[in-house]
Amino acid sequence: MSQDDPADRETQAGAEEVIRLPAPTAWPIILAFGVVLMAATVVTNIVVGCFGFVILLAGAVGWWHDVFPVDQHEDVALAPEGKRVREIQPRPGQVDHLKVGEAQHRVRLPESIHPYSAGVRGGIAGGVVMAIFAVLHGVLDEDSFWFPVNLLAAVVMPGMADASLEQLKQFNGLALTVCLVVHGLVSVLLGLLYGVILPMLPSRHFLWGAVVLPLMWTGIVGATLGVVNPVLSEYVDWPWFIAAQVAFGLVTGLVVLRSEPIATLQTWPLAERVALEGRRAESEDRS
Amino acid sequence: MASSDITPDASPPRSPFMDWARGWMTTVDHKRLGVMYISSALLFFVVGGLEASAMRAQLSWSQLDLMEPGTFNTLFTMHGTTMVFLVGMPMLFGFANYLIPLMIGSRDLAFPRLNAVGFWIFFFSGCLLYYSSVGGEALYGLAGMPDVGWFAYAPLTAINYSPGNGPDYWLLFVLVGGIGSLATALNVVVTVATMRCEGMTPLRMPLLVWMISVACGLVLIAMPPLSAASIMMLFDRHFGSHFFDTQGGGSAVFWQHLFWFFGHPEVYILVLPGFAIVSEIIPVFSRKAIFGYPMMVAASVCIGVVAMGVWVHHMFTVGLTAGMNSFFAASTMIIAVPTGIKIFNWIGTMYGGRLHLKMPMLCCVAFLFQFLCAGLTGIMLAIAPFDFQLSDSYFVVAHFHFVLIGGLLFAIFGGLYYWFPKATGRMLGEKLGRWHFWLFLIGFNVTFGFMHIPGAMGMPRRIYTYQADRGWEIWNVISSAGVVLQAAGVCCLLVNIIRSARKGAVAGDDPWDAWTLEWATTSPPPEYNFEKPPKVHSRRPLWDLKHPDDTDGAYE
Ligand SMILES: [Cu+2]
Repeated sequence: MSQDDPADRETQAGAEEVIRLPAPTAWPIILAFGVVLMAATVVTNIVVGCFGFVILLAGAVGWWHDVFPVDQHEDVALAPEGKRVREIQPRPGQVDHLKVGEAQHRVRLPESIHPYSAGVRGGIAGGVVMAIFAVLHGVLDEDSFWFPVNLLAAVVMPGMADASLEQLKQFNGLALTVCLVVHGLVSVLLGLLYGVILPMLPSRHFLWGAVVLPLMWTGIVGATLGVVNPVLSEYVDWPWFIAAQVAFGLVTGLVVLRSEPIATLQTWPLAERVALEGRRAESEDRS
Repeated sequence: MASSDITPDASPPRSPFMDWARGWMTTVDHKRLGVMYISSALLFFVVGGLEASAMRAQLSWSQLDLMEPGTFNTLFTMHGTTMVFLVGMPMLFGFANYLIPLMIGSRDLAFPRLNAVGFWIFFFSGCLLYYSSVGGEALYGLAGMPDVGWFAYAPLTAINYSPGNGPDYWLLFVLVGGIGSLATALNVVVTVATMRCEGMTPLRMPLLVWMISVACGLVLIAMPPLSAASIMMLFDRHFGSHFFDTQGGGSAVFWQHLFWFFGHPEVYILVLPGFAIVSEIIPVFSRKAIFGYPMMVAASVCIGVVAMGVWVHHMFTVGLTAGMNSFFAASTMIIAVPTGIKIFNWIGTMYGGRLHLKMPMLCCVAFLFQFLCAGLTGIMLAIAPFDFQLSDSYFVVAHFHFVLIGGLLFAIFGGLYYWFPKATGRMLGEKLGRWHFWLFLIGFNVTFGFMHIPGAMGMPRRIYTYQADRGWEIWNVISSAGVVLQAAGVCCLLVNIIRSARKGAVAGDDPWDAWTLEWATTSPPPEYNFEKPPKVHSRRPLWDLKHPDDTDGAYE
C-alpha cells in the first residue's frame, strides 16, 4: 500500500516488477451515501438530511486527502509467470479471399455510371425549362404570371390553401420564396435520381428518361395530389402538366446522358469492393 | 504517501467475507465496477420482470381483479422506471466500464474514483426508489410507491392530484440517479478522448467505443434538462411554485417538453450500446472485418445528432401546431436513414462470411430481425395522423418493447455470452444458452408480436382491466402466455451464469479468435489490464498479430 515505507517499497520493487494503480478507497461509497440521504430529506425527515450532510462532508474531506497532496496509489505485482498472457501465435497463409461470383455473389452491376454532378446539373436545367412551361401556362391561360407560383407554394403554405382565385393570381413574396425552394429542391433531387437510375435501366435510356419516367411521375402526382396539395389538384391543367413533365425529363435526361461516364468499383473484385481488403495491386507493391 | 504507518501489524485479522466485501466496496477498478453495474442491472431486471409478469397476469382476461387498481398503477410506473433507469442505463455503463479501457489499451478510466461514486450513487438511488414501498406515506390505503407512470406527466404529479410521497420518490430518484449517470458519462467521454494507447487513432477505435461514446455524449446533453425539470416539479409540489401548474400560470406541456427532450435521446442512449455490442460480435462470428467502418461511425454520430431533434413525436396528440407536428414527423423519419445504414452494414458484414452461429451470434441475428420490426412500427408511429389513432395504445407499448427487448436486450444477451469468458475466465454453457435463447425468443415474439393487435383495436395502455365485449381477451391471453416462456428463458440464463461461473469450460485468453485488444490479455484480466501498454497499427490489432503476412494496416 501507499503507506509503506519508501525504502521498503524500493526493495519490493527490485524483487519483482510492479505496476502503479489508484488505491482502493471507501470515500466514494460514503460520499454517494451522503448524497442520497440528503435527497431523502424531502420524503423523510430533516434529521436524515443533516445526517446525510455530515456523511457527505466526511466523504468529501476524505476524498480530498485521497488526492492531495499526491494521489494515493498501490503497487500491484505482475501476475506470476505461469498466469500471464500467452503470446499470440502468428498463423500465416490462412486467409481466404472472396472472389467475384463465389457463393453466388451478384456480378451484374453497371461498370460505369454518370457522375452525380451531371444529375444535379440536369435537375437544375430541367427545373428551369419546367418553370418556363408553368409560367407560360399561367400567362397564356390564366392571365397571371404568379398563378403557378402560388399554386405550388400551397403545398406547404396553409394560407395559400384557403386563398381565393383572385388572391392566387396576385404576387406574394413568401409564396415566391417557398415556390423557388420547393421547386429547386425537388428538381435537384429528381435530377439526382435520373443520374443514378438511368444507367441501371436495360436500354433505350432516352425513351425512359424523356417519356416513361415523366409519365410515371405524373401518375404518382395524379394519385396523390389531392392529399398533398388540394389547391393545385383543383386548378391543375393536366395537358400542360404532362408537357412540363416531359420537358423536364427530356432536358434532364439529355444533360445526364451527355455527361462523361465514370467507372464504378464494380470492376474490382468483390473482396476489395466490400473493403474487406484493399487494392491487391497496392499490397503487392508493398511486398 | 504523506505519513508512514508506524504500526503496520496493528490491524486485527478480518474474516475472508469481510475482506471480500471490503474489496468490492472500496474498489476503483473499472472491471470490478463494470461487473457490479451489470450484476445490479440483472438483479433489477428480475425485479422489473416480476412487476411486468404481475401486470400481464392482471390483464390476461377481461374483468380480473388480482390486485388493487392502485397497485397496478405502481406496477407499471415501477416497471418502466426500473427497466429504463436501473437496467438499461447501468447495462450501458457496465459494458462501457468493463470494455472501453480494455479496448483502447488503457489501465483504467480517466477518473477511477469518480467512477466508483457514479456506481454507488446509481445503486443507492435504486435503493431509495424501492424504499418507497415501505417508506412512502400510504394514502387512501394505496402503496406509497410512485404511481404516476414512468414519464410522470403534469398535472397528475401536482400535490393536489398525487398527495402521497410517491411522486417525490420518483423525482428524487431521477434527480440523484442523474448525478451518477452524468459522472460516469463524463468519465467515459474523457477516457476515450485522452486515454487511448499508442496508435489508437479515432478511426481505429472499435465501433463499440465509438457508439458508447456517442451514447454518453447524449447522456451529457439530455440528462441535465430532466434534472432541472425534476427540481422544478419538487418546487411545485413543496414550495408553492407554479412551473407546471396551468391554473397558476404555468404550463403542463412544458413538463412534456422537458421530459421528452430527455426521453427520446434516452431511447438512443439505451439502444446505441446495443448497436455497439452487435457491431463487435457480428464481424468476429462472420470471420470478416466490419463492412463500411467509416459509414458506421458517421451513422452513429448522425443518430446522436438527429436524436436530439425528434422529441415532439411523443407529443403529437397534445395539440401543437401542424408545423410542429410536420417538422418532428419528418425529423423522426430521417433517423431511419442512419439506422438503416447500420442494418445494411451488419448484413453486409455477414454476407459472404463464414458464419459461426454460436450463442453471441444467434442473439445478434435475432436482434437484426426484431430491431427491424421495431424500426418499421416506429416509422408508422412517426406519421402524425397515424399516431393520433394509436398514441397511448398497446400498439405503442408493443413497438417500444420491440426496440428495448427485441433490440437492446437481445444485444445485451449476446454481449453477456461474448464477454462472460473474458470477465470470468469460463465459457457460458452453450446448451443451456440455446434453451435460454429459444424460450426467450419465442416467448418475446408471442407476447409482444401479438400485443400489436389489441393495440390497433384500440386497447389503451395503462388500463387496469377492460370490458368483456371488446374482443381483446384472446390477444391478451396469448400475450400473457408468452411471459411464461420468457420467464423460463431468463431462469435458464441465470442458472447458466451461476453454474458457468463456477464450473464452466475454461476459456483461455481468446476463445472466439477475436481481434480487439480486450482479447490480448488474460481472462479474467489482471488488475492492471496489460503488462505493457499495447501499440496498435490498425482497427484489428490482434488480426495483425495473427496474420502478419496479411495485415489490416495495408487496407485502411
Ligand atoms: Cu422518441
